[in-house]
Amino acid sequence: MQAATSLPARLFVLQPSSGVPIYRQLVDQVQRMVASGQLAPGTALPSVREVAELHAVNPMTISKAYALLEGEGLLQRNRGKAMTVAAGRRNQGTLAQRLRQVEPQVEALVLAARQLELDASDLAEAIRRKMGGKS
Amino acid sequence: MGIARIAWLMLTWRPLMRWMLAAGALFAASGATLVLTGVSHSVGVRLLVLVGTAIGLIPVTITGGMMFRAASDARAIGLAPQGELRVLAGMFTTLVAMALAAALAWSLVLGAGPGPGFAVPGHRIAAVVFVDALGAMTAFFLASYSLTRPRIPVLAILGPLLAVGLILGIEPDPHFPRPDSPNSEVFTLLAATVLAWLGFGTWFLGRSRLRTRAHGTNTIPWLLSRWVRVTGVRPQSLRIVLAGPLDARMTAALTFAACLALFAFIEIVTWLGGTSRHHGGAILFFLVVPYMAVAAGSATGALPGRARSLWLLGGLDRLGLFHLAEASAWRQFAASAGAALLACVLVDEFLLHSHGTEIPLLVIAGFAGVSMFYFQLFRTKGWPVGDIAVSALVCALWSGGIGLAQESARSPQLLPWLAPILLLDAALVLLLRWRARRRWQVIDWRVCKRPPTWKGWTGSS
Amino acid sequence: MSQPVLSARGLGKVIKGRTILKDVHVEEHRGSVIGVIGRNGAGKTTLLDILLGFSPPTSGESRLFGHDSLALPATVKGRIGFVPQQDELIPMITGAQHLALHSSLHPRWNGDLVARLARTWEVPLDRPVQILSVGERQKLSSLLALGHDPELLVLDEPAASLDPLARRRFLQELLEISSDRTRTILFSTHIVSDLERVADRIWILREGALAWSGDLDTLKESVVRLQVRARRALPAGLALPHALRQQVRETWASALVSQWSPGEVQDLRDSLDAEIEVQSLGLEDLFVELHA
Repeated sequence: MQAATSLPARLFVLQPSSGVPIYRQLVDQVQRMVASGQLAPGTALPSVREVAELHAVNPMTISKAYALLEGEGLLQRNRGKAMTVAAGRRNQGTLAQRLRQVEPQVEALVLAARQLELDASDLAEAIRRKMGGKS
Repeated sequence: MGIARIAWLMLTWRPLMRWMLAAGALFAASGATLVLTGVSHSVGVRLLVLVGTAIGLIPVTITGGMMFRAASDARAIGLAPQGELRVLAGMFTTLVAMALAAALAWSLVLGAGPGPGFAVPGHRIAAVVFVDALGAMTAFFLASYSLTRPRIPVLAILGPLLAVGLILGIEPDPHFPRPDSPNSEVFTLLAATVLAWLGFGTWFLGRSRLRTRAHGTNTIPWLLSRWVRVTGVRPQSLRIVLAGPLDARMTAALTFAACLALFAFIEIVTWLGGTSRHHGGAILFFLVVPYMAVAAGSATGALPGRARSLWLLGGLDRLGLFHLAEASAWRQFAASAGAALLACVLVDEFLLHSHGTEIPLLVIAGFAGVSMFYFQLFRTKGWPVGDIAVSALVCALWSGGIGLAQESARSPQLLPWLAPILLLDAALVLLLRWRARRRWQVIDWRVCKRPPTWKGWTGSS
Repeated sequence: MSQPVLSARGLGKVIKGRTILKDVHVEEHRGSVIGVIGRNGAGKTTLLDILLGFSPPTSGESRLFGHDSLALPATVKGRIGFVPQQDELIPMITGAQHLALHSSLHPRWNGDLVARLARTWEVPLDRPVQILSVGERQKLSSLLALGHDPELLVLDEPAASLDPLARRRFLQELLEISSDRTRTILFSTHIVSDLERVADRIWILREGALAWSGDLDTLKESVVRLQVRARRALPAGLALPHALRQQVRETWASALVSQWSPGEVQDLRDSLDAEIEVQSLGLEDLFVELHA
């Protein structure tokens, strides 16, 4: 039923009891996976039904997430087949848009830094080191 | 929970029981005051005391066995130390207390001479009444317990107790106890009662609780469930949901069989006790069976509450449900009352050869039963004060009517008095039907709840 | 599709002088899964009873499929399945006999669905109801309500007596049957985690009034807790916008606000000269906060 390259529904981690709505969690996870390259263009995503069944959540919320991602151009609908990651989306939006993506994490980081009385330069150094270590 | 508290609960668990206890206490107390202070010794006042006591006694007598079973089934009772013993003791205490109350009332009423206070042999009357009352209430208790859970040992204990009572020729005549009966008879009955309690207590405390728990099904309901016929025909299904799976023919058959079994039992016992007691047995039969007809009417109780299940299922509107409930009540009543009255007629004609002197009694019982079930249909809002007043009227009419009809068997000149009672009954039925119909059109099932299941008794200590 | 499946306007109920419900307005359309939460005694069961026509409201009106609840025509009643909190089973007959009984009361009966569910949920059908456990009785009641493919399914505390595994299976089944969006499901529960999985609309009943009715996602996104840490003492009369509740202590404030949108945080931070932590809350926390 699925292409060999499709992914298991278990890939997503959904927490229904979180303050973040389920559809939002899914949208965020797909966005990050696409940005990190974990989801290559052309990869088929698990069907709405599969994800909903595995996580025991309302399929409507999964459809909502997929529809939103399609609207943003991250996913594309293929008639009769599973949704796939849209091709040719190396540029995922302007710098401002991308920065907005990590805004929650930045907020949390800044808050923690203030509580520990670290200043911006200490923080920037730590970030540079971390990112320098990776890609 | 203390034994006294359990005893109190047995008397007051349901609102209706509290009302009846209060009403009975009120009547008895006012009558007693009048007699004791010497204001009046008329028959009416004495009757007030007797009626008050009777009203107070009725609930626990009739429902005692069922309540006891519900209480003893509660898990909390089993877990509490000596929980079962306490419940048993509580039940015993209740019955003894009520028997004492009856004894007090009767000795007061019958022993009182022109002056205030007790007259000799007031204590003699009290003793006899106490023993009779306790014995009768014990028999009722065992019988109603057996209804909920037929067990051979309990029936084996009940049988001899009934037999002793009947052989001793207990005349179930509310006006005259037997202050002249020999001491031996009184002691025999007391001994039989005590033995019955000891036997029951031993069986009850000794039985394996696990075994009875697993045994969920009672024999009688199992028999009933075999008769459920769900044929795919809608009216039949609606009736089953409304009134339970008891088929009308099954009801009639069971009732008829029960009446004949009762009569047979009484006949055997009175034959054992000597033929001179024959009349007493027959009187007992004709006392019990008309009340069965009346009870058949009240067995349709909680129909308004049960109709709730059909609101979404049956496709009927509220008025349609009323007509369905009414038809269902008529069907069940006709089956059970019809069978009971038929049994009476057969016994009357072929065995007692009294040639129809009991017919007025049966007619009155029929009318009383109809008014009873229309009253049940009428009760859609719990027990507001108005309904209690109406219930008093209904009870007064049927007990008065039946009492009068029984007297008329001995004194035919009372027969013409039955006509106005019948007319009143008929008028009451029409009135109740009209009001019930109006109430059903706006019935509020949030207020009119289904009857509480026995699970409602938690008995928490 | 445009006509709401169920609607209530100005619904109020008073029993024996006690106000059980006041001024309830709801409107729900086909395909929604609606969860009703509230404390015991908040009026959930009464609201369900009034919507279904079991009880006349003291004020206001309630409609199902466009018809007044008290006067539902037989065809409409046939499209409703109801699982009450206290089951209304007949003690002496078996589960199979109950199914036969109910199937004779409905023209359409999905025997296959019922058989499958009886297997999956492990409902014993051959024993008299009186010896079934509470959970088994609840499952049987649910079976009876589902058999005729109702368009509106109303469940009052359907899973309260089920163990977690049984509850999970039950929820999955509910999701399965609601997946085609032609059915509307309304259920009241106090097991909030179940709701978060299954419901897309939420009604929160607090002391007889609707504290919230709307999408669950919107609820989580728009009702947040703000923790404010200011550099200077905050004014005592501080009123944060749309605050449902707030506490102010010198330089610290905490508030539960509604109608929140993420853009507001910067403005608030500037106007108060404070750090603001925005916490989104799960449904259980929201529920507790609303009742604090």
